[in-house]
Order: sequence, then structure tokens, then C-alpha cells
Amino acid sequence: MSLLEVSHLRKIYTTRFGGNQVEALKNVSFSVEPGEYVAIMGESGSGKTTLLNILAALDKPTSGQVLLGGKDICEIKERDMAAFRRTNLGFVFQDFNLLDTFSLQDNIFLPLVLAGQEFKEMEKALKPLAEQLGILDILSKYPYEVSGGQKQRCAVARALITNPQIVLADEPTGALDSRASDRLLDLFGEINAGGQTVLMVTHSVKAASHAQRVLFLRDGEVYHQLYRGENTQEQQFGRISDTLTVLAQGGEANG
Amino acid sequence: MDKKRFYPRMALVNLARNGQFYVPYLLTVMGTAAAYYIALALAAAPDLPNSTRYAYLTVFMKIGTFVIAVFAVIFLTYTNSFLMKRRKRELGLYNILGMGKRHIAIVLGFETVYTAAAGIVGGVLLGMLLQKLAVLLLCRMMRMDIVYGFYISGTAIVGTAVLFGAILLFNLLINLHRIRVQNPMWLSTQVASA
Repeated sequence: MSLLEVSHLRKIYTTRFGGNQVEALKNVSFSVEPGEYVAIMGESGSGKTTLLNILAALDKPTSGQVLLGGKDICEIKERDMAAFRRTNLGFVFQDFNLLDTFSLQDNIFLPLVLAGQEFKEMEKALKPLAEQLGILDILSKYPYEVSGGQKQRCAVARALITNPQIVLADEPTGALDSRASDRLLDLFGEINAGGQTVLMVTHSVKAASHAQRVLFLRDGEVYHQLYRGENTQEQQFGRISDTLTVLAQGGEANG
Repeated sequence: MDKKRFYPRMALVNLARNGQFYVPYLLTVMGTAAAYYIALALAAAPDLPNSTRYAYLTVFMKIGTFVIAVFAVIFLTYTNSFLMKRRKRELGLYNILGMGKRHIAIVLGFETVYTAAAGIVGGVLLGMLLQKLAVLLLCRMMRMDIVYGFYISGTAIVGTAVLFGAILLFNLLINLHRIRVQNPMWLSTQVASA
């Protein structure tokens, strides 16, 4: 069974007084298997962020269904929503969203603190994670004292520490320089190899080429998808750029 | 961790972490509460002679308390909304990372209780300290021939507690309303690009 099943998702934004209607998502269907690493690409305005908001249960679709582990996330009541997010979803943001008033360790512990966990358990969960992400020696620092790459690795630790079913990442390399991006993407690869399902939304061909599968979104529809299969990352990079070119020219895909 | 003790503790930690903004806020509450207490206490001075001149004094002090009250409402409401804008990201994160809006509301409630307690008690104490000074100043300006004694005015304490309790409660209600209608949505920065 698929971990995440999105079927016929449609989202129409209406301005407050019912004047203009914008169709952000027309008809989006796809599914993600457990342990998969999927990237979603598309130009701005293609509905990527809307899709992510709906997957994160932060927004409700106009019609359609999102099943996570067989459960319809649109049916969850507001009062149970936070607990659902906490146990099932991990978030990585473009601009990190670490709190400057918390040390990095406290930032990473935040979801566990909100869940009311014991400090000892938190520490136990943190150690291997911090080792893998290479942030062990900066845990007592504050976000404004470390580099962007280090911040994002801490944000990844925060997303992973709850053992979520799926990690949702919104342009995780968007605010990083190329070296920090490479390091982060390698880490995402490692994490995924460890069995973690990852869904990433990105503009970057480089970032998308690390994923096992790339979905292309255009005008609110899934326009095409590419499996990486046996291709190397460099080959996949080429295939993605070609697809994007075709997409930009407005032609039909033939991959 | 004990669930019941968790919220009050978190509220305390939040205030401490945001001390950079909350200490000035608390000082503002104390300062305005002290001014209000002094004005109320002077208006309710127990041992004034019964001449017209002193009757005017009481009337003017009553007008003064009203003016201070109006300023306190405007000033504290404005400061509060500034603080909440600063904390938008923090509260949004709490919501996304697994704290229900109801629980955030509980924490904000505790924060308000702490602020109100510290602000009102501190303000009244400060008011008592400065009251004598205010009296001396008043005597000098009005060239009065009597001397006010030092007294603690019960009505002034109650009046200060009621007014500032009400202002902070009003601010809390504004904050709760804001939380209820707001959607964290990838924490506002990305909403614009959606």
C-alpha cells in the first residue's frame, strides 16, 4: 500500500468577497511509496506551495483526497491536527525557521517538548542524529552564531527527531550556497537510504536530480514524471533539464 | 513531563526567552500602573480640608486618572500588538510542530497572568514609593499650606488592579482571536509566493 495517496486534488482560491477565483490546483493525483524520495518541480505559480500546504494539512483542498497511511488528512479535526502533524510529518523550510531565542539543541527538541517527552529520551534520540548530521559540536550555539548550512542541518534534525512517516521539505537548498547545498542533498540521500520517506518541493535541478523520482507540475496538474532508475545523478540532471526546457516551451512531453 | 505543570512552565520560559521585549513591556505596565495608582490615591486623599480650593484638586486628580487610563489602554495595546508580531514565527512554529491552538492559548493565558501579577504588584509598590514625591511636588506647585501624610489607599490599589487586569485581559483576547483566525501556512514568508 502507498504511504501517501493524492487523488484528484483541486484547490480554488477565492478572494474574500468572492470576486476573483484562482485555480491553484486543477487535478493532481500521485502516490508515494514508503521509503521513496520524491521531488516536485514546477515554475512559480504552478501550485507547488499550495500542494505542500495541503499535504502538510495546513490548508484544505476544494475537492479531492489525501491519504497518509490510509487515513484521510482532510477529515482530521482541528483539535487533533497538531498532534497528527507532530507524529506523522517532519518539516524542513527554505529559511530554516529556527527560533533565535533557543539554542540549536532546544530548537531540535522543540517538537518533543511540545509532545511532553522526558529530557532523557530526547537526549537519547538526539545523539545518533546529531552525529549523522555533523552538528554534535554546535548544539549549544544559537542559530545566529552558525552558518546557513549548519542551520539547515539542525532544521533537518528537528524534522527527523520525531521519526515522522514522511518528511516534507520546501526548497531546502533555496537559501544555501552551492557547497552547503551539496552537503545537505547528500545527507538527504543518506537519510532516505536509511528508510525515511522524503518529499521535496524545489526549483533546483541539482536538488531534484538527487531524488528517485521527479514530478513536474504545470498549471495545477502533474504534467510529467521521471524515474531516476539506474541513471547516475549527472544523467538525471540532464534529463530533468531537458524536460524543463520542453515544459518551458509549452510542448508535450515525450520522455 | 507532567502535563499540568508543563503549560505554566512553558509560559515562564517563553517570557524569559523573549526577555529582550518583555522586560520593557513589563516596565511599561509597571510605570503606567504606578502613575495611575498615584493619581487615584491623590484623588482619594482622606485628610483634605473642606475648602473650595481642595475640592478643585480632587476634581482635577479625577480628570488626571481618566487621562492616564486612556493613555494606558492605547499604549499597552499598541505595545502588545508589536510584541505579538515579533512572536508570529515562534507561535506559528509551535502550531506546525505539534501544539494545538488551544494549547497555545493556554500558554498565552499563563503568560498574561504572570505579566499582570508582576506588573500590577510592581506598579502599586512603585506607586507607593513615588507617591510621597508626587505629593511634595504638588504641594510646591500649588503652594499649599497643609502636608499630606503618607497613606496607603485601598481604593487606589483595587482601581489599579481592575484597570490593568482589564487591559491585559483585553490584549489577551485580541491575541487569542489572532491565533484563531491565522493559519501558519509555511509561516507566512512563503504565503506571498504561493
